[in-house]
Amino acid sequence: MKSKVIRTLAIAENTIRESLRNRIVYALLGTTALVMCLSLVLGWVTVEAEDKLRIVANLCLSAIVLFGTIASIFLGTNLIYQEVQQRTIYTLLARPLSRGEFIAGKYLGLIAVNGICLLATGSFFLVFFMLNGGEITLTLVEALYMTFIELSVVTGIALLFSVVAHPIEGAVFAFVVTMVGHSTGDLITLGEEIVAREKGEVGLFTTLTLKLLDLLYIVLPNLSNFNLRTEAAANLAVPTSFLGQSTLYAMVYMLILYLLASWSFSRKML
Amino acid sequence: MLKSISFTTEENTITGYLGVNGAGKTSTIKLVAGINRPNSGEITVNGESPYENDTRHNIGYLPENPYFYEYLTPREALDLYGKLHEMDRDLRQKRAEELLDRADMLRYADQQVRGFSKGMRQRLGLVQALIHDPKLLLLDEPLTGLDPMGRLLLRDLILSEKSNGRSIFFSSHVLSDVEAICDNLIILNGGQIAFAGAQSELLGQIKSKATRIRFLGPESLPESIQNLPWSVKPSKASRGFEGQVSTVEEGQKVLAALHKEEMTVLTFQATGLSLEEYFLKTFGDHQGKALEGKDAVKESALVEDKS
Repeated sequence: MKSKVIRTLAIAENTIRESLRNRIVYALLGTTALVMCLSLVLGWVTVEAEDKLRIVANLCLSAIVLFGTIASIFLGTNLIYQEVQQRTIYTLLARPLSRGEFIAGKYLGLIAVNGICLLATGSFFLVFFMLNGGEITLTLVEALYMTFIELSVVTGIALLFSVVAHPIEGAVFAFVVTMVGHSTGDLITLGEEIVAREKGEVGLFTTLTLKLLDLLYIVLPNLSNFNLRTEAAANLAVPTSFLGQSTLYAMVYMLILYLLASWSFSRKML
Repeated sequence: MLKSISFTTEENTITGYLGVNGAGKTSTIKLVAGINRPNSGEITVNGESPYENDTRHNIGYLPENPYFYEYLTPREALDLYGKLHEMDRDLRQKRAEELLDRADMLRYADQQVRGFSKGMRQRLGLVQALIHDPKLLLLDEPLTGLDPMGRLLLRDLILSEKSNGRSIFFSSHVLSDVEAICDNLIILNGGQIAFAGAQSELLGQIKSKATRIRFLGPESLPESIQNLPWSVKPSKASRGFEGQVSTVEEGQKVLAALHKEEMTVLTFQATGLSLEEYFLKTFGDHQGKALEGKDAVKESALVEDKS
């Protein structure tokens, strides 16, 4: 067990080093900071000082999520494909390293990269927010924590697509899943609307559609579970149980994504 | 596609693994390295499966055109590989230093790999395969595409690893190198083994079967020369005549007769094929058509260029 951990951490450490030397990561970090600064412009056109801060907080947190998602999808979908294409994987897998450990190391490494990037953008945001008269509240920190959890799930999705698809296709799929994942609640609403339109007489086609919507609701990640941006901007308290449940949900979802990626990768002929 | 392959390698030997492009050389090496699994059959390294982690501590693998993480330095890359073999930090550093020095790479140890030439990558490839002191070394096209100096350096390194007691399994398109350093040969053709054995055995079969004699003589050769057990005709390449005998005894008879007739012998040369000529003649044409003479030489150049 100890050996497995050592090997997995060695791959994770290497992934961090490799990713942090990638200039694209810094370009995205810079863009995030720039967009945060631009949020002031929108804040200026708002009359009320309180509204101005709320808009700045909301825009800044949204920018962190948006560019974090782009970085996660970009790094994640390239991760395994690139290793195979560039043949860097051969010198690793000929060593006492299982494919499962390799995927685990890569995933952990990218989660750590997300953490480091989030630490940078989050710190920048908090300082920037404070300098503009805002107050750093617990909910703001919780919103950043939830963003980290969300990006970890998105990275898992990208990683899975990296194993089974070409990077461009993988990025498109991962982006679509992420977008739909932000509105899975709408799938249930859509189902309810369909039933209401049928006025109680539910046919076979409608039944199948409802089943499909239910399935999608279960299978797709419910990323809105991790969205505390509105609460943070309005400084509303968030129950600890919500944070715990969302974290647990993310952990289970990430584990399933890892197992799927690992299983697919172990069947791949390299 | 590999069909049915069975071979063994020994300690202190270099086994050359030959075959045309697509014959399955790289596939075989990946199977032995434990990267891929066969659909059926069994592979053992020192009696153990290469799919067990413990076995892979004894395998060193240099892939064809090795690639490394571009942003890592050789020292960082070797440290990573050493960690995967659970080597402690001091041992990792000591081995890396030692091997980089032997490969004449120490001065590049802290430069990122992305600026490295093919030769440097190939040398680093060999170093990473040796970092954990493996018993079996699998080298996939280690000398391909290198300049003469780079080839010589790598060849010397490989030979010194053989004298360190390792079993080296070596695939290459550069047949002159294979001929120069391999003890045993395995030739793969159509997914099956066409030859497996000592190189000397194969070379014994293909060399010195015949002797070609060139000599100067009058326009019309005397009957004592024409009636000898050989085929003689005017030389196309130069003045005089040339003929070929099948055995040493026949050659001696011809020489005695030429001496008696006071004719000048220009060359007395064992014919036969080099490993490269034999390989190209037998397997060189992908359609199975044998290549002859100049065509074989041209094809030889092409094969080296492609690789």
